Amino acid sequence: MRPAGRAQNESLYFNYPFFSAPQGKKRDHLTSNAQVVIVGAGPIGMTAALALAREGVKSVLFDNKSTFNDGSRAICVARSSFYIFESLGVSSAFLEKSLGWTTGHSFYRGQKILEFQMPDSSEEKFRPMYNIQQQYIEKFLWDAVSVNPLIETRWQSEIIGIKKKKNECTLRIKDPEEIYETSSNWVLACDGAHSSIRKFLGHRLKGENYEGRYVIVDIKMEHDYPTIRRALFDPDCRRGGTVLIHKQPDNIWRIDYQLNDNEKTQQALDENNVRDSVSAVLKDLNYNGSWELEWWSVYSANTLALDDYRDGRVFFVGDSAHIVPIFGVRGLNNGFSDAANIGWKLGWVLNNKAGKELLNSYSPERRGATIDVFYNSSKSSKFMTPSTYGWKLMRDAALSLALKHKFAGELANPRQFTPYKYSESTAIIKDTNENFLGGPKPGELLPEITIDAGYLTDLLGEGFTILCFNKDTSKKLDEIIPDGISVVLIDLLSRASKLLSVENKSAYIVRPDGYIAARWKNITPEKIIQELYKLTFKTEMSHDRK
Amino acid sequence: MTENKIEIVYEAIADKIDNLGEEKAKLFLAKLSLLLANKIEDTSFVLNAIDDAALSLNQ
Repeated sequence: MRPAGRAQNESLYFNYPFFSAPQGKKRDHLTSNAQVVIVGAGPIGMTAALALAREGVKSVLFDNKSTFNDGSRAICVARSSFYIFESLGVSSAFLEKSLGWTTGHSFYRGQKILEFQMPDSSEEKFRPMYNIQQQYIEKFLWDAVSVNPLIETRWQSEIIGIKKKKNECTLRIKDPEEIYETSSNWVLACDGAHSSIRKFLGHRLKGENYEGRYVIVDIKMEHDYPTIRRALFDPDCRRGGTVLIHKQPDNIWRIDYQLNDNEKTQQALDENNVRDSVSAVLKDLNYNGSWELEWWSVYSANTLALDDYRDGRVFFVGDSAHIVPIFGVRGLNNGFSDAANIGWKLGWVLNNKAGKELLNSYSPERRGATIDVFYNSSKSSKFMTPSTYGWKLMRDAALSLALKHKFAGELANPRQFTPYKYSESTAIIKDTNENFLGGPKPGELLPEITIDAGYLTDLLGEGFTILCFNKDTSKKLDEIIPDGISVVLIDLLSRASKLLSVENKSAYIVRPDGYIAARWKNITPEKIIQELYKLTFKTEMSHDRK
Repeated sequence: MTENKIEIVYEAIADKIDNLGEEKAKLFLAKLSLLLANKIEDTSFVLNAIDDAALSLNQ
């Protein structure tokens, strides 16, 4: 919502563009079959389109709006998402605008009880977290989408029906000029928490609705505090509640404050009440300067997900498949991972570089990531917004002890920093009993470390990458490797080799999304190629050799 | 005690209080304190903990 007198898209710092529906010649082919339709041109839909385009696959992107999402919404972008931006060629705009951070401060009744550091070091290419408004996220993705010849975007075009057929889906679309039908072989539903595709197909999100409600407000002020996440427990301004404060670019600050059970949502959203609540928070922060109200909304801490993220030729991606509480900052970040995951898999299948079975791994991998978030964020929710007497009593006890005892403050440390592991996926090969003494396992993200003048991940190719550690293996692989697979030779004496816990004849295979697909302590080049068939669900590499 | 262990204990106590209900919470917590204190040889440590727990109780 915006203050009285300002239009929905009248921001203090961002100029919303206006997008027309397809016009003139662009309407000639509206009803032509599209190989992939993406519903929703939000951050997730655009990421999916770019991920498909990276594989050379065309898509048509539909959105019922005429501009980006109103308000800032999601603001915390995790390190893992920056790797996705980088693979899509858009990371530089994000790095330039966003504010990286590593530190969080928690206060109990005005006294600092915890200072936490997220894992970071000079070995890491990206910071663990960056703050940036969602409008900029959408703008930077749009800058890439709008110039990509493989992506056609149709704004002001609403999907009003979908029918599943054997080899395609029929979609009914309404735009300002007409209602028309088009067919598509594959559909990615990136249409958000209120997904209409989900409703049309009769699927429901399942899970828990927590009682905790937060008002999220963006204000503009010249406040002299570094980019550190602040959590205020039981502050003067909101006794019994919790307040979160984040810095964003352009002097915009995000304030999330918890509503107590007696506060009605509708009343809490009243502009005067929002202004009073913000003033009270600022008083606790000892900020006495002026400030302007930018935008606000309300959020409930829900954990809801679909049982299956796939229905035949339709994949659910992002919020259409799962809704998570805000504390874990995993809503948008998991959405990016969903989009990148289905993007490369569908691309590889459509290019006949992988068998269709690869697509079956999308839902288990990404639903698994959601369930992992639920586990961690329900723990966070129970601490941040305890809804029972026992949990509230223990929370208050921990916070009270934390003033003097460090261990109790650690209980307030939000758990949000470990990327999910695809350890049980069909799209990886589990360790055999070859006894790696350490190093990352299949299903984990390839860890980062500096190597030569850059980073380990810089060495990865666009498709699968084989990391090997002696010249003979590398040379032989180069002779027999199928197209689309990169071979990287790493010095056995390097720190990277130590991190990977490898020997002379070891090898790692890394997937296009940076996850480790398989590893062997001792393997021949010929066997590596055989194993690659398994990973791509091919009986043999049917596509062209180099 | 590691962070994870204290978390397990924290959650177990919270759940137990909820199972017993608010009325019985005080007696339960007093009994738990005695059970745990009985396992600690160093009486001065327990007495210090009693003082520490009594700090910042103003609501």
